[in-house]
Order: sequence, then C-alpha cells, then structure tokens
Amino acid sequence: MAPFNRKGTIDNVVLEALTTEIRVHQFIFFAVLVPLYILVAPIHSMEITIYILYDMVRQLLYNYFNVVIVSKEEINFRGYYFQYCAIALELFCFSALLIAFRIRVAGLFLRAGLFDGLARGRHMQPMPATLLSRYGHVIERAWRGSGYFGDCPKLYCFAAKGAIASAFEADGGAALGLSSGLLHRLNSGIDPTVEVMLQHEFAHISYHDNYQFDQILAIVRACRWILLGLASLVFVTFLGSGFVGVTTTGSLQPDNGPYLAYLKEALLALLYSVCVVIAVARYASLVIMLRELRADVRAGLAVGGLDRFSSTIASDRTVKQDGPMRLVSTLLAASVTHLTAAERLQYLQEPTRLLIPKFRYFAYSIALPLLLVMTDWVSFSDAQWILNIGILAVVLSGNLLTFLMLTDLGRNDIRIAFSRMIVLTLSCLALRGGFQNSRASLPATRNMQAVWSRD
Amino acid sequence: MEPSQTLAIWLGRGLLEAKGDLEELIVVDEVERQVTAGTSFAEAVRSVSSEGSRAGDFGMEIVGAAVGAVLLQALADFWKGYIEEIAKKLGKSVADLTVEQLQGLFRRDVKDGRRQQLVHEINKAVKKLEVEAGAADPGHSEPNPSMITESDLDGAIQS
Repeated sequence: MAPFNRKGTIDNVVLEALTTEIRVHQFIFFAVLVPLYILVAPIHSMEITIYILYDMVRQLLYNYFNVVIVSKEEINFRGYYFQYCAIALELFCFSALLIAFRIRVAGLFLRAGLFDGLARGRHMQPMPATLLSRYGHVIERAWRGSGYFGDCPKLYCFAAKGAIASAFEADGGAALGLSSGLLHRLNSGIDPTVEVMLQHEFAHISYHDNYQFDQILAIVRACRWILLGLASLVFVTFLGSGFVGVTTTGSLQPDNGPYLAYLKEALLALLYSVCVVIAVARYASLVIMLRELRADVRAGLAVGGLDRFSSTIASDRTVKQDGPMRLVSTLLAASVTHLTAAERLQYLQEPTRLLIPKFRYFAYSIALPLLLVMTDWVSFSDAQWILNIGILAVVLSGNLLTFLMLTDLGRNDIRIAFSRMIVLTLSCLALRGGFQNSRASLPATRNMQAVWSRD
Repeated sequence: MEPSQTLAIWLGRGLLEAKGDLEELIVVDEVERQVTAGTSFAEAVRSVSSEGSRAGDFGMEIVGAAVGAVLLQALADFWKGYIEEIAKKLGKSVADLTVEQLQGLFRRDVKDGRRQQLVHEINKAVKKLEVEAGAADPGHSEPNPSMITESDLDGAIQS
C-alpha cells in the first residue's frame, strides 16, 4: 500500500476523500440546484401560463358573452399597477411552488418515515422467532466483529430468489432486510460475498445514508412531480390558447396565424422541464453513487482491504454482470441509479482513482444542459439564464471540490495533484467556451415576447 | 383461490418445515398473501422467483435458488392431476370435493402405501419445471433442493 497519507493506509485517505466529495456535491445539490430548478425556474412557466390563461378567459368571455375585460397589455401600460401585479404574481407563484414542494416532500417523507418505501414495496416482515434464533446471532457477530457500536439493526425478511440485503429505517431505528435467497445462502455460514454485502449495508447504517437517500429521493420525486406537472399544464394551455384563437396583440379579433409558434413554444416548455428533471436526477444520482462507493470502501476496510472486497466479488460466479442498458441508465436515466458492478470494482481495484473527483459522472450530469445552451435549436430564451446558473454552480462545485481535495489530501502525491490541476483547468476552459457559444447563439433564440408581439 | 393452489400452499408449508428450510416459508407466506390479495397464483410465484434487486440494495445482482417457489409451482401442478384422479376414482365432479376432504384422502393415500409413488410424482413435477426453465439436465438425477423425500412427506402430513 502506498504510504503517502497521514493515517497510515490509503483506504482511510480514500474514505476522507469521498466524504469531502459527498459534502461538496450535497451542498451544491441542496443549496443551489434544488432552490434554482424547483423553486425559481418554474416561476417563469407559471407566469406564462397565467398570462395565457388570462388571455384565453378574456377571449372566451368576448366570444360567448360579448363581455370585454381589460387586456394584459393595457395593465402593463398603467404604470406602477403593472409592477404591483408582477410582484404579486411572482410572490404568488413562488409561494405556490414552495407549498407544493413542501407538501410533496413532507408527504413522501411521512410515508417513508414510518416504514421505508423500499421495505414496504417488498412487504418486509419482522424476522420470525424461528429464523431469528437461527440467523440473529450470525448477523450480530458480523456487526460487532466489524467494530460498530450500538444496537445491532433490527432484522426483517422478505421473499426473493436473489441474495439481497437492504438497510433501511423502521420505527425510527436502523433495520436490515434480508431476502429468503440470502438466508438460504447463510444456512451454511457467512461466505465472503455475503460478508461483503453485510458490511456494505452496515456502512450505510453507520453513515445514516438511508435518511439522506430518502431525503434526496423525495426531492427528486417532488422535482419530477412539480416540473412535469407544470410542463403539462403549460403545454395544454399553449395548445388551448392556439385553439381558442387568442391573439398575440391584445386585440379580440380571432387570430389563427401563430398556432404553429404556440405549438413550438409548448414543445420547448415540455422539453425544458424534462431536461431539468434529468439534470436534477443525474446530480442526485451522483451523490447517491458516491455514498454507495464510500460504503464499499468502508466494507472493504472491514473485510481486510479494498482488494479483498473486489477480488471476492470478481471471483464469485453468482454475481451477475450488468448489461449495456444498465450502463446507459447510470448515465442518462431520469431515475436515481447505482454505478455498475464493473465500475465499482474498477474503482476498488485502483483506489487512487477514488482520490480524484469523479468528473466522468459529473460531466454527464452537465453535458445535457450544456448542449442545450450551446446549440441554438434547443435554447430556451427567457429561461436560459436558469440553465446557465445551474451549469455554473455545477462547474464551480467541481472546481471547489478539486481545490479542497488538492489542498487537503493529495499533498504528497504529485501525480494525483497534477491530474486534478488538469481537470480544474479543463473545466474552466469548457465553462468559458460554453458560455461564449451560448452568447453567440442568443440572437437566434426564440423569445416569448417576440411570439406575442408578432403581428 | 383454487383448491389445487390452497393445497399446494398447505403441503408446501408442511414440506419445507419438515425439510428444515424455514427461510423458504417466507416465500410461501408471500405467495399466499399475494394470492389472497387477488394476484394470480402463477404471477405470485413468478414474483418471488425473480432475483428481486432494486435501487437501494447492494447494487449488484446476486443469483440465488428459488427452492420454495419451484416447490409451490410443482405442487400446484401435482394437485391438479391428483384432484382429477381422485374425482374420477370416486365418481364425483372436481367441484364437489372440498379442500378438507382432499387433505384427508391425501393423508390416507400416504399412510396406505402410496407414499413412494406420490413422492415420485411430486419430484417429477419439480424436475419438469427445472428442465423447462433450463436449470436442470433431463438425463441427470442428482438431488435438487426443491425435491422431497418420503420422510419429508411423512413430516408434512402430520403438520
């Protein structure tokens, strides 16, 4: 083992590096991306929806009841009324989003808090006395043997053919669910793979990862719910307004001209929301993947080294290889995913790679919005600044992370320090290039006002 | 639930207890819960036969043995044939036979010397399922964890 750290083993340094990385990414996720993408960005969509709904109601009142109410353009020209209206509207939108977000997250938490969603989905049951007497002491010995203090997690069981262990929260305490397939395997004692699995789950319990997972998943689901719900509303409103023949000039004469423009804007609003949902889910995945990786390292320490962890898993023929679709889903899916088994083993076989920020996944999480900003055919005009800030925050977090890991951990390893410096420089250059391109593409972007003022 | 399924669950639970496969009782309970809740028997058995990995687990799929699930499906297949045979023998329709009657007749058959034949039929159903799933070679007769012995059957009918 390379003796280049202050605590004696590279494994401990890796744990510290991963913890630093997790903290930085969590800060960016909770403090920047979530407020920006879930609470600020949708205000724009809500405002536009309200404007269009107003126009639709006005048009319908005129068409069917011959009643004329003041147009939004007239409100705009009445000086400070407009400012009051705009502030009230923004406050209303922000409050509505905040309330929706809180209700959704609290709802998901309430459901998950009493008994973890994963455990409920599997119909886990407290382990019956007959099985506890057979396996309880085996699990407890493994828990105590790896140096954990406190009560051994409560044991649950569920039916599944595969050997599965899953840590979760139940009744406010740590719990461990074991599948019938795993218990069957435990019949002949703890084999090395089962030991690695158990230590991985124990690590999650000791780091309280499950609480964090619940929190992150609740936020990702709330984000999906709010953004896709809102996007559908905007989509329907745009199409409806085109159908009703809402004019773009404030005039009440039917205007069938810009229907295609409305359709285009509706599709872009939908695309924008889908992209933001993917960006949030990918970033949340990154945080979860890092926590999983840290649990692997901790399990590796408990079973005698990272190489022991990786060789145990690599030599076990019952461990299934992930297919190519799994790799694709770890990069692009809008749901939260693990790293693939092969990737995890690669990291554990070369622990120095763990000391470098995981820019590969990091890059994937920003590639999509960056592409959207740089190519004018999918740029979003009014809402583009939101994506820009999101990308800026993500790249800045990468730089901050690189700086922290560089100053804190890698001071005696020039190779790692050098690679981090290269990553830092490249990310700055990429950011600069991205924004230059984005500025260059701005004149070609669509603008809601342009659509509205088209005569 | 059809009588063949009720009886498969009853005999499956008894056999697994007799074999000492207590962890597989979780599978029987889960199938019973799902079927009672309205899921079809085949679907419930299929769900417990899957590897079952989900996001939030260890993150790597580790293959296991579906001992309980295979036994339940094999028993359901066995009971279908057995109920028809009994109905024919008694000159009754299948619908006229109750679960309790069938349990009594099965117990009597085991005690009256058909034990070996019944074990053979159940094991044949297990083997057929495993061959269909590509998990066993039809030419081989090596012991398989889902297969049962005469003493397992004796233990099961006493429960």
